[in-house]
Amino acid sequence: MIQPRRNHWAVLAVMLVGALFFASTELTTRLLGAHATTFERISTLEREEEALDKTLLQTAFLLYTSFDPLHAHLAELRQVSDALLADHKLDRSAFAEVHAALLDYRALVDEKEGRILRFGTLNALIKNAVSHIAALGSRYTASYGSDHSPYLRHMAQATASVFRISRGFDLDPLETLRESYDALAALPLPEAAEQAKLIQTFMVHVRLFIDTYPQYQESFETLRALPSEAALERVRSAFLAAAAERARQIRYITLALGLLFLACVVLVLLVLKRLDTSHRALTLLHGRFTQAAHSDRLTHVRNRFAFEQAVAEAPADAVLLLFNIDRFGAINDLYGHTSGDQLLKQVAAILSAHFAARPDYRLYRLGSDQFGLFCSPLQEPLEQVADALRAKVEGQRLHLKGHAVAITITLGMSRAAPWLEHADLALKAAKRAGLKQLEYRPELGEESEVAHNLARLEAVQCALDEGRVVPWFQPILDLRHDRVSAYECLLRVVDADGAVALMPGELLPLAERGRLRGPLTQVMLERSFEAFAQSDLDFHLNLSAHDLGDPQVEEHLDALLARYPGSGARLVLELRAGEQEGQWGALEGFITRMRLHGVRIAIDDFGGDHASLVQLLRLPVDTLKIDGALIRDIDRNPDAQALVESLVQLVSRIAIRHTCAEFVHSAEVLETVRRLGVDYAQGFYIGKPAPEIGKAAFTTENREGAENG
Amino acid sequence: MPLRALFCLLTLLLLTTTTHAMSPVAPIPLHPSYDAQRAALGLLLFSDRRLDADGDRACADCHRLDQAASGGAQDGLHGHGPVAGVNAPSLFNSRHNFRRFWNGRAQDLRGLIRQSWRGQSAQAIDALLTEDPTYRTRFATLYPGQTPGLPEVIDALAEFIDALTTPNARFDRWLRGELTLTEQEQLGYQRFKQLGCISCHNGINIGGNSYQYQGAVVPMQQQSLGADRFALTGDPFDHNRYRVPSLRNVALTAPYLHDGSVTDLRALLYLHAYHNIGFQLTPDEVESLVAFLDSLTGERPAVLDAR
Repeated sequence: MIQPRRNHWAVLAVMLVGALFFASTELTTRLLGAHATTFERISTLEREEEALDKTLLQTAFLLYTSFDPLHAHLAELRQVSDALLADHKLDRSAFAEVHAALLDYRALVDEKEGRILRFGTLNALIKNAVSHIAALGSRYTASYGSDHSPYLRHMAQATASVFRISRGFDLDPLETLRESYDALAALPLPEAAEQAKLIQTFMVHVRLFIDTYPQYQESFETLRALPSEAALERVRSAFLAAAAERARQIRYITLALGLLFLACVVLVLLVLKRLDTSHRALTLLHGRFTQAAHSDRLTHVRNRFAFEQAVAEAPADAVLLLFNIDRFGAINDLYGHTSGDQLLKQVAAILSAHFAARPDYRLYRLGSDQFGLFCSPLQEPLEQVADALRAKVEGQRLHLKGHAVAITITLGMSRAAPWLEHADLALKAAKRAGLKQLEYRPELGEESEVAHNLARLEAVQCALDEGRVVPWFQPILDLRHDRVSAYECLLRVVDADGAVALMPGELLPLAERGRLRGPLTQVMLERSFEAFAQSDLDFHLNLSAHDLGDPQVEEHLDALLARYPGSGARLVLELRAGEQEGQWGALEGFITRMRLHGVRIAIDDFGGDHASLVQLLRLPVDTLKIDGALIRDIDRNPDAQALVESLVQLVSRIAIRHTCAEFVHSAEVLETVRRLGVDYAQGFYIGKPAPEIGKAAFTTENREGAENG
Repeated sequence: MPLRALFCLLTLLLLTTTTHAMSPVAPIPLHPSYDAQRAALGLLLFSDRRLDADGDRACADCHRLDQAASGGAQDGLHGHGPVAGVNAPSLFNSRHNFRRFWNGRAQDLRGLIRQSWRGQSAQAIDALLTEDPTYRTRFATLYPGQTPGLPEVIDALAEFIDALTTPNARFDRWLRGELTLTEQEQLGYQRFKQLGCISCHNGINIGGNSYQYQGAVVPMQQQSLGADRFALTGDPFDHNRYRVPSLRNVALTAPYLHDGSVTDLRALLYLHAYHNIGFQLTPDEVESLVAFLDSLTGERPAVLDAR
């Protein structure tokens, strides 16, 4: 995953390089502008230099001319070269040579001006001399042309020489001119004053010409030879070289920056690509997290978190059906936790499939074995939905490690927020009351239940203290001899009048939590032994897993067996099928010790629970009490008949001697179990529990009841 | 006569090749460029004796404005060596001279004034400019944002001197084709050229653009007074070599020559022609030359009338 900071750096780098790139472009443009200006100035110098030379030639050639153009050109040369020298752009080391050449040139300009001025002085002298020689010659010819004196000849020769020298720039005829001059000087002056003055003036100018011309010519040649143009050429070439070097540097810099810029663009593209990749990965991950956060890992239905979200958005008319699997802990214990998980998965799968096409029903797993069906909007009557749900779950055979298992569920329902809390209360209330389902009502509130529990605990404690915890006795019919041969001792809390105050179903779990179970069992044992001390009837006592785990109970049993000799042979201890799982070894030891006293062992509620048959049948058990769930409608249910029949046959083949049918509530049921070969029968049809032995006489009255003994 | 014929031909050739020239003199521009207000302020300063340390001389006391800002032999206020007795040259049209002073030792006018300043100290100038109400207001207007001082004074003076030009001389107007010179004047100009005066006195200022010898043909017995080029360069070539003075307004600028030794124009012409071109002029020639030189007197500079 890319760190955001690195992306920032990448973007910063790109911006920096971009800025550098544009800055360098701008710089290059400016530099080129400066170079163009400099080059233009150098060109101006060259032009002016050329113009100066031309003007100079003109000045040398023309008799009447102005010196002003010379000064104009010189001023331009000074000004432009000073501007170049002042240009700080040429002050850098790269242009050091240009600067040096410019300084040389500038010095040459000053020197040239000096020489031009010197030449100008000599030029004026020479021009005047030449002009006057010609003019005087002309005047002489006009005045004295008829005179064939040697003057005219020498003057003409001198004039010719001056012409040759001045126009030919040639010093050779100077000697001839001297000769003419000397010849003139050697002649006596004519007597005519005007003529003599003319000749003298002529000679003064020739003399001046002879004396000045060599200087004049030398001055002109020195001026021409002045290396100002070469110096300017050096300036130009040095500048071109420096500028070319500069341009090369700029090209490299621009190239490098361009490449850097491209690299940065590539970098950004990479960053973008990686960002895109990580974005997609994150999106995917986010999707998975969302799904994981909202769904249960085991069953893949929505989880508690999803439920809370759904609740937050749910309309007020939503309905929650909360249910859990009855005796799920026992299933876990019997088949192992993996199997329990399998069971949950199967239940979830069944319901998911069932409600897949109904978006208004949403299934959630809200606890270990607790599911919720959240309905919004509710389109059918709530009872109908609950029945459908129950039918779907309970109607399925679930498969655990090759065993087909049928499960039941208990439902708690709520039509209003807070749905879960209310439905949970209703569910607990339903469990407590042994109901299949219950809809929340305000009086099921937590406070009332706690108070209720406390009140009942207090009542039990009070009953214990006041000796109102008593065994009631329910007859067990020996079907082979058709007589009541035994009674099952059932715990009852009675009021002062001896009427039942509390039923054990709601009492015992409470007692276990309130640590009252031990005292209750002790009372039951003592009272039951005492009741049957003088009887020859068998008596059945129930021991719970809690009791079996309590060493005091066995000690107490031993004491009672010792106190009432012979009672051991009549005592049948009923252990609830399924409660003993996980402690087979301890149980086996307990049974073995009890059997030494002649005590018989019965397995209670066999077939209704998920007791592990194999383990059970290994125990040295005497009687198997078949669960009421199998017996209740056995007269009309052929499956139950087949099951019980095979159970009876099975038992006859192993060490278990007897079977006993519970919940026999009618004559038809009694006849059915009798026909199926069950040894004993127990139930309301035979006799309800009663506070005294024998009081509950065998009755043929068909009754219904929830008591299964 | 073959000899004469040849001589005539040669003479003709020489003259045709050398006299056929472009106009060697240019007229003074009609509208010189300068800052009129600063120049007007410069005129005040130019005439103000308070600028002098002794308080007894203004610029205008030597460069007399009624004499084309020239003034005869002076005691060398712009000291550069022993220049006492040097003739103060005309400042009129001096912006068109290629150099200043007789030996051309200065070129930049402002630099010249600054270097040769012999007036009040900078502090005294500051005080003067603060105390004088006219200066205070005019400097504040013309040099806004600056505390006026010597540099501003020099600037205004320089602007004034640059403004001293004399356009519309008769000769200039003739050059521009605006009028016809008298025969005498035309004759003078022809002689001016024929005699070779034009060799040194040419260009816009009819002089002022080269260094030439005084006594080029016949040496003069004259002290250079340290005003010649030799005093500046030490080069023997420069003995008696001076910046050629302008002939503009020459009728107004007597006395003449670097030492102001000649007060009359005609006398100057006789003397100058003899020593510098080797001719003894005839009165007829002098008169025509004077007529020509008179035509070089231009209009009074406009700046002098701007107050």
